Amino acid sequence: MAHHEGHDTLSEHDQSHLDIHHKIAHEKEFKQQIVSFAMMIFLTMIAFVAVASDAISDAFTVVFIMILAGIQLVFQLYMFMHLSHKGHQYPAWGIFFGVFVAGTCVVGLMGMIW
Amino acid sequence: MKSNEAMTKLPANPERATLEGKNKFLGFWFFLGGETVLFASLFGVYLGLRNATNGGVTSNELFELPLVFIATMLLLSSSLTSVFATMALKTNHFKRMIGWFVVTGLLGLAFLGLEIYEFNHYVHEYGHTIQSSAWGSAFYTLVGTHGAHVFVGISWITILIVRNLRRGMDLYTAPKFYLFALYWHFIDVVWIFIFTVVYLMGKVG
Repeated sequence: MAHHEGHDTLSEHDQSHLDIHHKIAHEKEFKQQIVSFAMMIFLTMIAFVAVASDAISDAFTVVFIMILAGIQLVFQLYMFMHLSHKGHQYPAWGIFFGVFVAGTCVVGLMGMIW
Repeated sequence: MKSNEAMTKLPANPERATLEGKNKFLGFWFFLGGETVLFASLFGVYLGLRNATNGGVTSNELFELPLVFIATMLLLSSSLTSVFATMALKTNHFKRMIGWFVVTGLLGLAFLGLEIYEFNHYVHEYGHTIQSSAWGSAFYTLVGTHGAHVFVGISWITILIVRNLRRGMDLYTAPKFYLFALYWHFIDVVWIFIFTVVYLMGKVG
């Protein structure tokens, strides 16, 4: 019984170790979030500049800004919504199945209306 | 005072520590998958009808990029502040979390104000209404549905904060706040595609 309890509760020493690990992980994550945000602002600005300038052809601009939006989607899902963290396998299935149906839906509707 | 907040120990992922929290977390992600399809249907219709202007004003004449840019910056910033709130949640700093969620809500409110101004401007200055053309219908339905989501989000976080301010952080409140942050990021994702597909592509032609 005493042995069993020893496994369930962490000693004070182990707990403080765990706390330090959490703290380091959080500080690292904080930096990653700031970098992600800076990247998203940067990508948004590029997209607006690409549209505002006449230097690039229209067809290329459309493809280009759609790619930029796709990159921002990945940043949001994996950095801001923590999809990269442990225990997100089923959420990932849920959202990517949604994205798959969404893609089919957009292509299908566009095709029907045109 | 300060030690009082940090004294109470929470597990590493307090939003998923209970069965109820786990269920909410999974269910909400599936809900977001469904929301993706809802918006996809509106995007598909919009893309099909974006040139059906019925002889009225075109998207290139109507949209003003500076306004859209400011709105985008507001919503992107609110996404960052709700990330800060989530981090405060995970490190068990209740007051800090509430503070960041208040900032998030205010940025959302500013975004909504700008959108209302924009719609009002379109209707009264350009006669671009939901009835004026097929494009008008598609535009107001898509952008309006997103705006309605922003409104729901602001209402949601206001109620959450008011209701749980005195309760503090525990395994019961953590999932509630965490799910709101997920919802808010999702709204931002939708906006990324709206500013790209509706506004920027509308300017390109």
